[in-house]
Amino acid sequence: MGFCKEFNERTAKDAGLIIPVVITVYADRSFSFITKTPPAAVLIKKACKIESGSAKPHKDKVAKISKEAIKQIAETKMPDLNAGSLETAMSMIAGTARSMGVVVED
Amino acid sequence: MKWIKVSITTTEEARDVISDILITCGSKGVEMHDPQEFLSQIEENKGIDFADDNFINLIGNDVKISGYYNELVNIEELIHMIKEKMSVASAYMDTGKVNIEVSNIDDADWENEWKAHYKPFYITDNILIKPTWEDVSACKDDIIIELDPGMAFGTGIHETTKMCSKYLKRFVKKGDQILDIGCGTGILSIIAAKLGAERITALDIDITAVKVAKENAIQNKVDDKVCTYKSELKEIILEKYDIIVANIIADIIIDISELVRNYLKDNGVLITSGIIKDRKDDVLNHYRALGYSVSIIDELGEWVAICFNA
Repeated sequence: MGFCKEFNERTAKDAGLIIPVVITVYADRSFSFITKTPPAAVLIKKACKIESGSAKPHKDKVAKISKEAIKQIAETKMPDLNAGSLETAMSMIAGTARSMGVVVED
Repeated sequence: MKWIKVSITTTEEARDVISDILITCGSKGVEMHDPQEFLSQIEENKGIDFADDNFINLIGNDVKISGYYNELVNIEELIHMIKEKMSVASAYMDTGKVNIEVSNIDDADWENEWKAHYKPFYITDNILIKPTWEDVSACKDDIIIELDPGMAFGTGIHETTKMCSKYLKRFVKKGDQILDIGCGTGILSIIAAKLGAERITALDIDITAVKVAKENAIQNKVDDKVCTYKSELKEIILEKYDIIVANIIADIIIDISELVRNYLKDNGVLITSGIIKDRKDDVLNHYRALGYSVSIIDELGEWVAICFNA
């Protein structure tokens, strides 16, 4: 319950989003945690205002996303991605968007 | 209750997409085992300074993502749905070897396992918290609080509970009327009762907490003084209290600021906590603007407790 209290307080501004967290539990039962950025798929769905991705992303497209929005998501996710540059991060996010049936606009 | 755990071994690149698939298929959340995450914690000194080489070799390179599903779910249908979505995803990114494992998890253990680590301790001065299942040798002047926290908040270990106890010890006088908003396990109400308060109204919106608080009051033989209610502040009868304690979170402390004053005697004290350091100023500014005077600001770890006078 101590964890819930602290997690809710620290993430109050992100209400409604899924926030990954890395928890380190020590032998004396104390803990520390680091909150991460929300998963790319969650940010893409939020940006496109859709509930879920497409079941057949190669055929049925469910939304469009602008390059600018991809860039914003890549910037948000940058601290957690093993991407050397923003361009690499953007192509990773674009790949995720396409796999959900979201068309990436040029 | 049992859970079905579905674990998928995949790549770093695909981890967000796989997580989303597991959630879309009905898991309330996912658990990620990412060796890269662990190694970066060591490299950047975030909490872990050292890990045994053998252990590092043991964790390997695979990212493992697990989702938890209700035991009543049709496993075959679930796995089929997950596989279908994964094969779609693999057309867009490297999803790796995609190994799916299914196992059953019994969560009953979690309800009891922590008890082994919950030992008697002094929460403040001479107030001794004693888990109901532990034996204790107390000093003559000790005030013993017997507690079985169950699933409710308030083991006494949390910084906010410690600070609230400290100020109850300081302010509670014999015969006082106390209001405990968000009572959790009832720990603060019971402390107030044992410090001589005449009557304590203990509220919580969580029915589990209310039940736990009631049981703890009985265990401590103060159930004639502590009255527990599953209720919000606005739903209870308007009466004046000598001391009000609210150990919740900053937003709720702010929300109740106007209403709570009606329940406080002219010379009464409002003890608030559950406020994380970042939010201290929000709470202070809000209460000051309403004309409350601040008598104490205390900090412990990441947390703040503030005492106000009406």
